[in-house]
Amino acid sequence: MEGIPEWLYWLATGIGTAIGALVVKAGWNSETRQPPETMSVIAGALVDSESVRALSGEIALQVVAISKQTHSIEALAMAMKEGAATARDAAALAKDQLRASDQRTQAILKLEDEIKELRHAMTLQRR
Amino acid sequence: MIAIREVRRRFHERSAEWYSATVLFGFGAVLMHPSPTFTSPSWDGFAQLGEEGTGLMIGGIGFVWLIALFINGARQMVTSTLRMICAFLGALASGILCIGFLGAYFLSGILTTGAWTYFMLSVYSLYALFHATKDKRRNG
Repeated sequence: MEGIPEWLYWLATGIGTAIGALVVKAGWNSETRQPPETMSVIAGALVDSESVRALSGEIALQVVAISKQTHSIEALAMAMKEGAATARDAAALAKDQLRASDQRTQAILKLEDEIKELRHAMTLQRR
Repeated sequence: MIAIREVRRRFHERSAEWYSATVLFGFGAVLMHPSPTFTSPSWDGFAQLGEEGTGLMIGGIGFVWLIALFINGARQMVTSTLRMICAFLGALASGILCIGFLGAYFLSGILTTGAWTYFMLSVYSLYALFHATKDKRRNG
C-alpha cells in the first residue's frame, strides 16, 4: 500500500504550524503580565534604608486606602439605616390611611342603611 | 500529598490538556503493541509513517505532556513552556492523524470515526495551547 503522499503531510504540518502560531499570539495578547511591584519594593528594602522608608510609605498608603474603604462602608451602612427608618415611617402612614379609609367606608354603609329606612318610612306614610 | 492536591486543584481548568495528553499517550501505546495494527485498511493513510515510528512519536508527545502537566500542576512557575510546546505538537499530531484517516477513505473507501475524532482533538489541543500561553504570560 502506497499511503498518503509525503508532501501532503508536510503541507498539513506547515498549515498547522501557522494556525498554532496564531493561537499562541492570541493567547499571549489576551493576558497582561502583572508587574510584581510590592515584591520589588520588599526586595529593595533588604538592600538599603532608603528602600525601607519607601516600603513603609507604601504600607502607609495601603492602610489609608483600606481606611477610606472602611469609611465608605460605614457611610453606606448609615444610609441604609436611614432608608430603613424612612420606609418604616411610610408603612405607618399607609396603615393610618388604610384605617381612615375603612372608617369612611363604614360611615357610607351606615348612611346607606339610614336612607333605606327613611324611604321605607315615607312609603308607609303615603299609604 | 501536596503535589497531588495541587494537581487536583488545577485539574478542572486544564482538563482539555489532560484529556489530549492521555489520548495521545494511549494512542502511541496501542501502536507500540506487537499486534500489526497498520494492516487494517483504515490505517492505509499512515503507510508512509510506519507503525513503530508513529507510535513512538505520538506516545512520546503524550508522555512528555503528562509529565509537564503533573509538574506544572504541582508548582505553578515551571514547565509552562513545555506545556505550550506539547500542546502545539499535540494539535499537529492530531491534525495529521485526522488527515491520515481521511486519506485512508480515499485510498480504501473505508471511512472511520477517527477522522472527526482526531479533528476535534486537534481543536481541543489548540484550545489547550491558548490557555498554556496565557499561563506562560501570567506566571512566566
